[in-house]
Amino acid sequence: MAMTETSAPAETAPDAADTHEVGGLAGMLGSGDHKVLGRIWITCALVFGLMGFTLVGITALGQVPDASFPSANAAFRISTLGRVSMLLLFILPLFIGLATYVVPLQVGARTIAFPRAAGAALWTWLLASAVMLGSFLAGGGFRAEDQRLVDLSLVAFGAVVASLLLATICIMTTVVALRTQGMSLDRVPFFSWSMLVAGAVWLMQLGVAMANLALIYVDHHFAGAATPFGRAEAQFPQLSWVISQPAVFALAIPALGITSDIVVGLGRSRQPQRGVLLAGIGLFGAVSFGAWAQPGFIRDLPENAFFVGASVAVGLPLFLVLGGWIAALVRGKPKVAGPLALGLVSGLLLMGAALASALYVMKPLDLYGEPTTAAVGALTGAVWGQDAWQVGLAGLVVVAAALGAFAGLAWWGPKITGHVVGDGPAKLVVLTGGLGALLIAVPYFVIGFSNSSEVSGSTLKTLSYATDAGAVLVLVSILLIGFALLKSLSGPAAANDPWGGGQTLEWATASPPAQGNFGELALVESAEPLLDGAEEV
Amino acid sequence: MYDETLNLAEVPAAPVARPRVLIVATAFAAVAALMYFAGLIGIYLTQRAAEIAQGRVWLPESVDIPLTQANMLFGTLLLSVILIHWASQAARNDDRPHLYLALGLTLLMGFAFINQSFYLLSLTEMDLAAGRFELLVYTIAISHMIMLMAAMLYLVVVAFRALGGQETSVHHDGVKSAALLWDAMVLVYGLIWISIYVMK
Repeated sequence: MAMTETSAPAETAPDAADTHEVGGLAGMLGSGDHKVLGRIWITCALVFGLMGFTLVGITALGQVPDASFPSANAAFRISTLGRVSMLLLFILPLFIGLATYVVPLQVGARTIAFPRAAGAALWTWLLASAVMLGSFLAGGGFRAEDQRLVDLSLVAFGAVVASLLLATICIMTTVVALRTQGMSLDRVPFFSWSMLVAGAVWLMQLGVAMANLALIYVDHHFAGAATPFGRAEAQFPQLSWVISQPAVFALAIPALGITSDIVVGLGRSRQPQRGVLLAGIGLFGAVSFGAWAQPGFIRDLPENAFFVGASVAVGLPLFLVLGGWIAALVRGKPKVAGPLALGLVSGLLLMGAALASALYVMKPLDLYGEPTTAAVGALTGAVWGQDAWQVGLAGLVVVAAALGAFAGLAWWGPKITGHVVGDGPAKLVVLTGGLGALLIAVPYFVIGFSNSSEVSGSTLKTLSYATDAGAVLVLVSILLIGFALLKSLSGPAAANDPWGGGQTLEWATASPPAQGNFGELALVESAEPLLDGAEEV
Repeated sequence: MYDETLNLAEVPAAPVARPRVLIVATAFAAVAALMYFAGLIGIYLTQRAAEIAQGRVWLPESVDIPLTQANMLFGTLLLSVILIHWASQAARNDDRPHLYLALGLTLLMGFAFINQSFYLLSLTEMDLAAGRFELLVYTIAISHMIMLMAAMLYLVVVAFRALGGQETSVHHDGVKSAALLWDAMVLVYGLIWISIYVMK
């Protein structure tokens, strides 16, 4: 039986006639439509990403020896804000936005689970993010002198994390409980699978991060920082594990799912050994769970056997995934489109980060050092709680994840905007993003290798400028992707499946889908339901 | 009446049984809450081990943590687990009187727990700002009470839904998900009981 008698145009969508739609701002603010929510998540995340990489650039420049910041605390606050923004305001929301839009379509659901909760998560996140940014910029944040602003920053930080948790629960529930008939869990598209895996890891890691935050807040607010938990210099180091190995790799799990979907989609053939690829993504998620590896509480963490094991093992599942991609590419021989190139570069950067993770725990290399020494100061002095190597590794993973998300935006762009998205900007982002990732990360690796204190002032200056250039290139990448999506709005309307090789349900409905997403969906009989239909014809 | 025109071969297949969204979402939320407490208790145990390894005393001499009240608290919660599952069973059987009774008694156990908890904390005479032990115990205990209150609030919502006739033998996800959250809350207290009140 053919997979679909679907492609829901607005007039035939079952829910459309029953729904009283409110347009304009009121409609947007009160919407529980996953497509509206997804677009807002994505737009805001890209804007916050611009801000975050600007802060990364400013921080690196400010650490050049002959440059000056208003104070060491100001440098620290801006630096930590940049790093927190990368995680909570850019990468996670970008993936959540993409998943809010795409996952219900992939699993054949008419809506996201708990649409009102999904809406509440979005607006809470946006409001809490604004408060967090405002409090940091007004003089709050980690190590700030105004204690009330520190409290406000911590509360806003907690609200941001809670809203991300709520949004993640909505997405995971959609994958588990709202799949269409016949779509067993092993038939779920790769991106939806990766969001389920990522969501599970994020739930666990962010839950522990909330515990850290609670301790910091209770000590700081109620006990006047009477214990080490709430003291200014100890606040950020307690949370730095979130952007250190192995936990930082959890940010990039959805990038693997996105690239997997693109590889098979452009190859127009079924993924050979699909189960291995699913297992690879699942294992990557399992190994990247790092809430237990908190350097703030475990001394000599790099010598801990579990930490060493996880640091080395994190690369192994990537080989499974990469092998799966190669098998699909060899079978399908797809043309090199922007999303594919972006996804593959994202995967290669992740492999590089996994290599860096393994090198970090090799004792003879002596890559880990005192986190707060002045010697490391030139580039990382503003980042107490992390040594140079970890700052570089986090940068590499964040940009790799961002490129994966950009690949998703370019791939599902026609579904999101309803118009054909040009391939040129995406191909350009491969260069700017890839080079940007290297320029951001490599200077920190150089400092890590050269044992910090041996780096001369002029070398540090050069390395700082290199990091700045990397941040600028990533900024350009964000702008290019945003430009491509905006420019597409004036282009021709997109067909249901503009790539011509869609295998999963999102390509069976209109671009963008009407209210209710689908007409009548037939029983799904494989992981590639649209190929089933094409083969029967 | 039997419809002679009905051809059984044309009857559509029954829909695939899917886990209900409310129960699935509650399970995920419970996992996040469990990890929150795992983080706090993990830090408590790490700090405790570090102090003891250095030959220092972890439990301050000025602090007395009685076990009797903590045992009573745990017993109260264990009893409440039976009650919430009684409610779930009653909902499944469309047994309204027993459903309301079980929900009410579970809520009563929740109130009793809060009352006893404050009494226990007052017995210890701990000063929040006195040190890491006190800070951790207060943070963990108050966090657990907040989780209990959230579970009770959820139970109240479910009770209203039941009064409105929305919890039936066919569809009683509300009671089942409330029971799931309650179980998670009791499990958390079990961990707290062992790590703080028994091991100290």
